[in-house]
Amino acid sequence: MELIHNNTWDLLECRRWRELQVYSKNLDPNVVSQMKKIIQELTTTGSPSLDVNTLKKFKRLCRDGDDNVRFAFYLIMSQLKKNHSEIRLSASQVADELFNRSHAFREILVNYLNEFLALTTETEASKPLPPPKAAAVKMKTDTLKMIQQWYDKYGQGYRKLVIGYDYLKNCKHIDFNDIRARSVAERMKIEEEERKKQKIMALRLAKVLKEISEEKDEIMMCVKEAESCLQLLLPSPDDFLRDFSGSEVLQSKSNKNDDNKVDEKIPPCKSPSAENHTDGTYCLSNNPVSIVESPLRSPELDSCPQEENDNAKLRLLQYSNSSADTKLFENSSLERNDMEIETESDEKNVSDSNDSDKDECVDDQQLHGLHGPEYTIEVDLGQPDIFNVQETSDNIDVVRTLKESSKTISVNLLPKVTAWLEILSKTGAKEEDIKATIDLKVQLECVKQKCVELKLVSNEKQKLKDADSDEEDFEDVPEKEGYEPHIPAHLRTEYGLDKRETSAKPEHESASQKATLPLKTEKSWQWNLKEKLKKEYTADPTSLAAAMARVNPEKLNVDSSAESKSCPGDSKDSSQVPFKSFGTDLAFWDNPDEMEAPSIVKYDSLHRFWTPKEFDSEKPSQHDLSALRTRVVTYAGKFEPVKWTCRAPMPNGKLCERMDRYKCPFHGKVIPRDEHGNPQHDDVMPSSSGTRATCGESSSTEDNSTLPPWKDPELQREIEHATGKDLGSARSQKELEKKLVGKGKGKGKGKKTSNLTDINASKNTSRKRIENKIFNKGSVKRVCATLDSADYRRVRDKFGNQFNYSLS
Amino acid sequence: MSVQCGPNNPKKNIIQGLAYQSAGLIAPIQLQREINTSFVRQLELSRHKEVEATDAGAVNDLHVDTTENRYLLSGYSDGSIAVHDLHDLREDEYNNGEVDSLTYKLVCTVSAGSRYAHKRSIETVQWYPLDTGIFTSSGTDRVLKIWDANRLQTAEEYSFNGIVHCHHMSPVATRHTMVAVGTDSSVVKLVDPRAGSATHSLRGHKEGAVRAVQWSNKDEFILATGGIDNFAMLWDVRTAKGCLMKMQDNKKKSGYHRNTTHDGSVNGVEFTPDGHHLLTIGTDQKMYAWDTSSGKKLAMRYPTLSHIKRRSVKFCLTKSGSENFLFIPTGSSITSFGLVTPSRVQRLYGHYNNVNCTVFHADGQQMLSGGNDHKILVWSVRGDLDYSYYVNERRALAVEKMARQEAAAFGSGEQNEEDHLSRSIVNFQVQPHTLDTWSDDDEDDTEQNDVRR
Repeated sequence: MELIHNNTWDLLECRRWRELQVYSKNLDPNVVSQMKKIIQELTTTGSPSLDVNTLKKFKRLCRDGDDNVRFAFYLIMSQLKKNHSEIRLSASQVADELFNRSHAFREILVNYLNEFLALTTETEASKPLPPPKAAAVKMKTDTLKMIQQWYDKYGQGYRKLVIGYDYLKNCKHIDFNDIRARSVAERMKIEEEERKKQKIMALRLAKVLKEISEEKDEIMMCVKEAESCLQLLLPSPDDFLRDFSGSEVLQSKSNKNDDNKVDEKIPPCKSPSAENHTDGTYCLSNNPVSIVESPLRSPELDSCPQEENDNAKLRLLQYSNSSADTKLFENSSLERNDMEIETESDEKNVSDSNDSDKDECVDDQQLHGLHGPEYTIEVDLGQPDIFNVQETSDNIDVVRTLKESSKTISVNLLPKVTAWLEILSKTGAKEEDIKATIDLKVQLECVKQKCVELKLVSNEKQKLKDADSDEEDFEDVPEKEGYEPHIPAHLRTEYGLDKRETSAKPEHESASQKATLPLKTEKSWQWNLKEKLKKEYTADPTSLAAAMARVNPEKLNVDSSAESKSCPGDSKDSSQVPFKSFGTDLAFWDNPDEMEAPSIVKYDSLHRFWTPKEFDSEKPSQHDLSALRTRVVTYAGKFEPVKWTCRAPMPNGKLCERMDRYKCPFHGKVIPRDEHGNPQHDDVMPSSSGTRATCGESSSTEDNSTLPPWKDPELQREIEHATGKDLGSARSQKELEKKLVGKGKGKGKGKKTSNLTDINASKNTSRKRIENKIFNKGSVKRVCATLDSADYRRVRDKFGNQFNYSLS
Repeated sequence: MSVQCGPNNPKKNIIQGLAYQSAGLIAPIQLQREINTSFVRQLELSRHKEVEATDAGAVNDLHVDTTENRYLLSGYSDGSIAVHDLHDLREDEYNNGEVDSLTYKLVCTVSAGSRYAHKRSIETVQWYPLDTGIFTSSGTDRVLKIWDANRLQTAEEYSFNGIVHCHHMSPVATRHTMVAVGTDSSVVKLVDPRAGSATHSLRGHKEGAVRAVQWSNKDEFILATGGIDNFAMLWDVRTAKGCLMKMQDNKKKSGYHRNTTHDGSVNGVEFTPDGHHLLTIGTDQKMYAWDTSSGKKLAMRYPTLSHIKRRSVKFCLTKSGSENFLFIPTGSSITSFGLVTPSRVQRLYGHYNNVNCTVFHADGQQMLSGGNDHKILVWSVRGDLDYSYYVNERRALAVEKMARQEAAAFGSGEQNEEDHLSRSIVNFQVQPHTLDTWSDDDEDDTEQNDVRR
C-alpha cells in the first residue's frame, strides 16, 4: 500500500509515520489483511455516506483490541493521505465512528490531530485539499462539525484535543459557535421565513378581500349595465312575452304568425334593416334541436296554463346556445302541444303510443301532422345564423355603452377577478369568499361571452381594419361558421384546429356539418398528401403546416406556394432554362465540322516595320480545335456543408468529433459507423454524402437517447470543477459506461472498478489533448528545425553570408 | 555506583536511590541529579497545567527569571508582553470541575496597544539576571527596551539600524551590565545601560545579521555569537582586537567550501552548564558542540534537526541533571535529547503550528514552550499523571466520606451504608471522557457491552 504520496513530507513526519506502522506488527496478519481490505472497501465507494454493514464489520474487527484500533488509525491516516477528497471524506467518517467508540483511538488520533486536521480541514496552506471540490468542501465542514462534537464530548479528557480546538478557534479563526449554532440557526431561519411568508400571504389576502368588497358593487354595476344594454338590443323573449300574457291574445299556431307578432311587438331599438335577420333573432341556435317526447308527462302539460306554455315555447328562442339547449331539453315536453315549429326537421321519429289516455294528445298532434305521443322531433331551427346588431342612429348609444362596458369587463375586470381568484386560492381564503368571486367571474364571463357573440367587439375590430368593406364582411361571416369566435386571429393559426376539435360538441353540430366536416378535413389531408411529395414537413400531422392546412386550406395554399417559390429545389423545374453565353460551339451548332480554329499569325521578328515578307499562318492543330469545341461549364452544384463527423472510436471511449468531408486526418476515410463507432459495413465504403448525413443524424439521436445532453459527464465535470457543487458527473459517467458496455463491446478496458469520481477526467479535455500533441517537445523541435532550415535556405539563396547582400 | 532511574519504575528506583543514599553509597547531589534526569526523560504534555491565555498573537520568546525561578516572561508577535506567575497554580472554575485543570495565572501584561509596547513582533525577552524589577525586550521594530517591571514602563530604549534578532545579558556578570545585541548588521553591539548607549562594537562577522548572542555562564567577559556568515565566534569583550576564536573545523574540506562552523547560518548558540562547551545550531539542520578553550569540534554526533529557519532559535538546556537535555523547537514538535546520549531522541508533539521557543523551569521540573498557535504549553513529568492519580484518590476519599456522612445522616444500618459506598464509588469511577464506548449496535445483540479502560 502506498503510504506517502506527498513529497513535502519531511523526514520527521516520515519517522513519526513509521512509528505508527509498528502497531501492525503485533497483529494477526489475517486480521491485518482483512482490515486493509475493509478500509479499502469503505473508502472507495465514492458515496458521501458510509456503508453501514461494512462499517460494522470494521468496527467489530477494531473492537478486538487496542492494537487493532491503532492499526485502524494507521489505515485511516493512510487513506486520508490519498489525493482524492472522496476517499478522505469516507476515511474521516470512519475516524469519527471510531473516535466515538474507542479510548485508544481517541488518544492516538488526538496525538496526530495536527496531521489529521491538515489533511481534512486544510489548516496548512501548503497542503490544499485534493479534488473533487464538492467532496472536499463537504469534508471540511463535516470535520469541523465533528471536532466541535468531539470537543463537547471528550474535551475534558484529552488535553491535546482542547489545544487543537483552541488552535482552530484562535489561529484559524473558525467560528465554532457558529457551527454549533448553525443547525439551530438554520431551523430558526426556516421558521422565520415561513412566518414571513404567511404574514405576507395574510396581508395580500386582506388586501384582496378589501378590494373585492370595494369593487364588487362597481363590477355588478358594470355587469348590470351590460346586461341591460343587451336586453335593450336583444330583448329576451321572456320580456316581451309578458306583454302577450297581459293582452291575453291567443297566439296563432303558425310560426309565421308568431313571427309577425313578434315583429310588431319588437321594441323600437330593433331596426327595420335588421328585419332580414329577425328569423335569426329567434332561431339563435346554430344546431339542430332534438326533442325527445316523453309521453308520460303530456296530460299535465295540457293542463298547464297557456301563458306558461308560451313562455316555455319562447324560451327556446333564447340566443345563448347552451342555455337554449338545456332549456329545450327541460321543456321539451312542454312544447309538445302547441309549439310552432318550422317544419324543416330532417327526421321525425314517431313511435306508437300504447297509452289510451293519450289519444286526445295524439289527435291534437295529428292536427299538426304528428302521429303519436312517442316520437322524437328533431328541430332544425333553420339556417344556423349569427345574428348581428347593426348600429343605427336609434341604438347607437346603447351599442356604444355595451361596447364600452364589455371592453371594461374583458380588459379590466375579468383579469382582475382572475387575479383575485388566484390569490384567494393560493392564500387559502374562506370558501365563501372564493365562491363569491367565482360567481362574479362567471357572471362577467357570461356577459363577455354574450357581447362576443353579438359580434360587437369583433365587428369593431374589422371596422377599424377596413372601414369601407363593412358589407362584404357581413357577407363573409357565414363562411366562418364553426369557428370559436373568441379565439383571437393570431392564435387561431396556432390553436385553431385543436381548439375546435376539443371544443366542438357533437350536439352543437348540425347534421350537415357533421357530414361536411370530416369531408373537409379529409380533403385537406389529401391535399397535404399531395404536398407531401414536394415538401416533407407538411406530412407530419403535428406540424404547423398540416394544422394550417386543415384550418385554412386557401391560406396554406398561398403560403406554400410562396414557400415553394423560395425553395431552390423547386425553382429548378419552374421553367428556368439554364442560360448559356454564346460561344463558338453554338455558332457552329448545326455543322460542327466546319468549325475552324482561328489561325494565329506569328511574327518572327518583332521589328516595327521590318517584317519578313512571307509568313505562314500556322495551321491550327487538332488540339486547338478541340479546345474550341469544349465548353467550360462551371460546376453549379450546391455547396453542402459537412454535417457528419468522423465518429471513429477513440481511446478515451468517445467518438472522433472531427468533421471532414471525405477523410479524417486521424482515422482515414469517413465511413458510416454505428453508434459505437464500428464500421457499418465490413468493406470500407466511400462515403456518399447523403448516407453519411443520415447516418450521422440517426446516430446522434441515438446518442441523445442513451444520455440526455445535460447529463454529459464531461460538461458536468467542468461545471463541478468551477462551482464546487456535486452534480453527479461520476454517476452519469458510470451510466454512460454501463450503457456503452451494455450496448456492445464498448470500451471494455477494465479500468478501475472503483466508484470514485475520476479526478483526472476533468483534466482530460480535448484542449489538453491537443495541447499535448502540439506542444510536446518532439513536435516543437521538429517545427523549429523546419523553420530554421527554411530561414537558412532563404539566407543562403540571398547570399546572406556575403556582406554586400546580407543587408538586402 | 550509579542509580538508574528509568521510566519503567521511577518510584522504585527513587526508593532504591534513597536507600543507597542513606547507606552512604551515593552523594545526595548525585541522587538529585539522577532523579532530575529521570524526570526530564519523562516529560509529557501536562494533562492539568496550562498557562493562562492572553489574547495576544504567537508566542515568540519565553524566559523564566533566574532569581526566584518564578516569573515567566513571554513576548508575543503583536508586540505585547505578559508575565505569568509559575508559583500561582490555581484550579480553574470554568471547567465544571470535571478535570482538575490548573492554570498559571497572569500577573501583568503590556498589551499591544500600550504606548510603551513594541510596535512590532518581539523576538527576545529576558529578565535582568539579578532582579525581577527589570526586564529587557527587543524585536523587529529595531528597538531594545529596558523595562521597569513594577511600573510596566520602559526605562530606556535603544534603537538600531536593523531588526534586533537577539540580545542577552550575562547571568554571572558582576562587573558589567552589558547587553549584547545581535542585529541585522554584522557588528555586535554591547549596550551598557549605565552609560545609556551602545558602548562597544564587536566587529568580526563578515556580513549580514547576527542571529545568536550568548554570554558565558562561567566567565562574565566571554561572549559567543553566531551569524549568517556561518560562523560562531567567541569573544572576550575586554580585548579590542577582535574575536577570541572562530569555531571552525580544521579538517580540510574538499573544493570551494570554507571551513565554517556550519554549512548554514548559525542561528543558536548555548554554553553547556559547565561552560566548557558551546553548542551551535545552524540552518544546515545540525547541532555541533565545540570546545570553548580550544575551538575544536567535539566528535559527538547529534541528531539531525528540522525546521531550523532563518530565524534565531530559542532553545533551552537543562542544568541540574546528571545528564543535560536540550529542547529544540523543530517545526510543530520539540526535539529533545541528552548531551551524553544524543541517540535517544524524544519528540514532543502538542503544538499545532510551529513552536517558537522553549524554556525549562527547573523548580517545577517542567518545560514550557510557546508557539504560533498562541499557546504556552506546559510539559511536565509524565504529563502530571501522578497528580491525576492523586486527585482521583482524593476524590474517591471525598466521595467515600460524603457517603458515610449521608449514611450517618440516614441513621440506617451497616448494609445500607455499604451499599451507598459502593454505589457512589462506582458512580465516581465512571469517567465518561476516557472510556471505550463500543455500543451494542456494532455487535450482535447477545453480546454485552463491555466497558474497558
